[in-house]
Amino acid sequence: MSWALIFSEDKKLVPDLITASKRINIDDTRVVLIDQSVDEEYAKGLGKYGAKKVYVYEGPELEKVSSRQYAEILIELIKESNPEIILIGGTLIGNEVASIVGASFDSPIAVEVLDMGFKEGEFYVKRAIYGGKLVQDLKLIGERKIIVISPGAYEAEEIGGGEAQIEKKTIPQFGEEIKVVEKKMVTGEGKPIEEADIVIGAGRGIKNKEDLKMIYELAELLGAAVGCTRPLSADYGWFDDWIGVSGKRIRPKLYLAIGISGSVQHMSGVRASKLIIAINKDGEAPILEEADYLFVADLYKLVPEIINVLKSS
Amino acid sequence: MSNIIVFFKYTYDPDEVRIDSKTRQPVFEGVNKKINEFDKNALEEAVRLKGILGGKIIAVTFSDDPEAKKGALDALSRGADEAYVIKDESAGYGDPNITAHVLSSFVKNMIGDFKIILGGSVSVDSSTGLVPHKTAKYLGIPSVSYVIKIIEISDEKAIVMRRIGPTVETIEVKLPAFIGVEMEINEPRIPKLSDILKAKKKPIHEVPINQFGLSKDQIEHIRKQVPISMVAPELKRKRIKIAEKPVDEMAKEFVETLKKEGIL
Repeated sequence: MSWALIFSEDKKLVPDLITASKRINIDDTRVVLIDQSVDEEYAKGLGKYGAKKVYVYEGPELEKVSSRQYAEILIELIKESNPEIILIGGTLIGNEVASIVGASFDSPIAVEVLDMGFKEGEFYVKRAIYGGKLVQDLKLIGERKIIVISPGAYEAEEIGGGEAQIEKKTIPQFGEEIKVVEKKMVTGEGKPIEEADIVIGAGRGIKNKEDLKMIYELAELLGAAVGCTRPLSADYGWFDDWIGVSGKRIRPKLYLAIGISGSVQHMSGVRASKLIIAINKDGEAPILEEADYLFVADLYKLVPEIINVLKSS
Repeated sequence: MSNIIVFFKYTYDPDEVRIDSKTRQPVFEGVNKKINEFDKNALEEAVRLKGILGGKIIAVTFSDDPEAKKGALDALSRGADEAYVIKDESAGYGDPNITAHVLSSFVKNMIGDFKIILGGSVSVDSSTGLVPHKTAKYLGIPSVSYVIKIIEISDEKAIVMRRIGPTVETIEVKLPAFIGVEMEINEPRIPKLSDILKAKKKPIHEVPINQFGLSKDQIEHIRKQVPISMVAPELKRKRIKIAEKPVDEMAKEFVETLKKEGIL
């Protein structure tokens, strides 16, 4: 019987992954949850999306773990339970876990997967490459396929299943080669952009650091978080981090790109946004291809004007 | 003294790849290849580590491109001491499993002694991020990607920092290891003319895979994926352009748009 194992350290992605497994007609979907403490109600509740069983690994020793340790747990669980397919949430950690687990079993792996399915006994995936500019169709060869699902590719759907069965597991002894010495959250200015419903991205159209004031003012009026493209962080040092393939990846309800031309590496970090609006003085900027609305204007004139309209309404 | 190995990929710049509007196919003609951006950071970091650890910097690429030597020359002008171009048409399959097998066999048989392998966490084109971990696994060494800083390095271990979303991790890893780096780790140099002239005197070795014991049959056997097609997706974006209007009108329209879309 075909069964799938699901893992994401980002709990928000787990229901999406369960739904993804149902779309390829997996009848037995099991989830593994690894955390310092796991909410049992949440775990049982995964049944409503169609999960049959949830393996729970919990304990204080899971405070300082990262991809390597998650992978070691998965490798042991896969060895003893032998899933046919493994679905992993497409975060940076997820990608790395997939690689380590995949190397251990010599599995075929596909990352950034947007769609997948069996056809005449073969397994095919559609995956994003070139930062999502292109989509590649691939046939995967071999057993224990590991599929890393791009966030946003599948949306969770409740199918009215009963409670999932919980199986508590013992945490294995971790290897000594890689140890997490410290793990801490960086709290930047304002809301973390990964959690905000509205994100404003600042690009190179913004000439001076002082000019960010109007961006923050607009952000406050919209209840938005502010991020930037790579040069504003790496070259100018105005921000700690940027949005893009090597930076943060976001999927807010609205991404408002101000003074951003739309390079592939940046757009791959924002492509999953529900709505993209851009403000750019170049009406031919590449971002138009990927925006819902492009306001062609000088941001130095339009942004203050928008602030006025918002204030007066 | 142990060597520092840098893996690099010689590939297209995704920003330069055009999409044919009729066929939705990528157009690669006329697009220059270059060293994967992340790998430039790996080369720069290798130069820094060489100052601490000593040894030679050996740059290695696996390619089916007859022009790959150009990439090797660029790597040499960025501070590598010698370069290897592993040539085989299977590089064109883009299968990370094959790449990892080839690179690990090469290192085992042709290099032997090394302290660290550096490479980009991902490549700008296929961006699977699988190669560091698979190669490390076949070599029996640990691997860490997304590294933004190598804080400390000694003979036995390295302490590295990485950024995963809002979390910063400090990780201790035993050496030898494969470290995948991010663009934040440093600012790659722009080679000067004198660097390029120096590079031309450094050795570039072109090696076929059978030189380190791999055969075509073996490659076919370890293949895990077959590319079927590649197209630009039809984007579902509305692509509405608002232009040539007075700013005050445009500002109102902007706010109206947010209301219409249920944002405000």
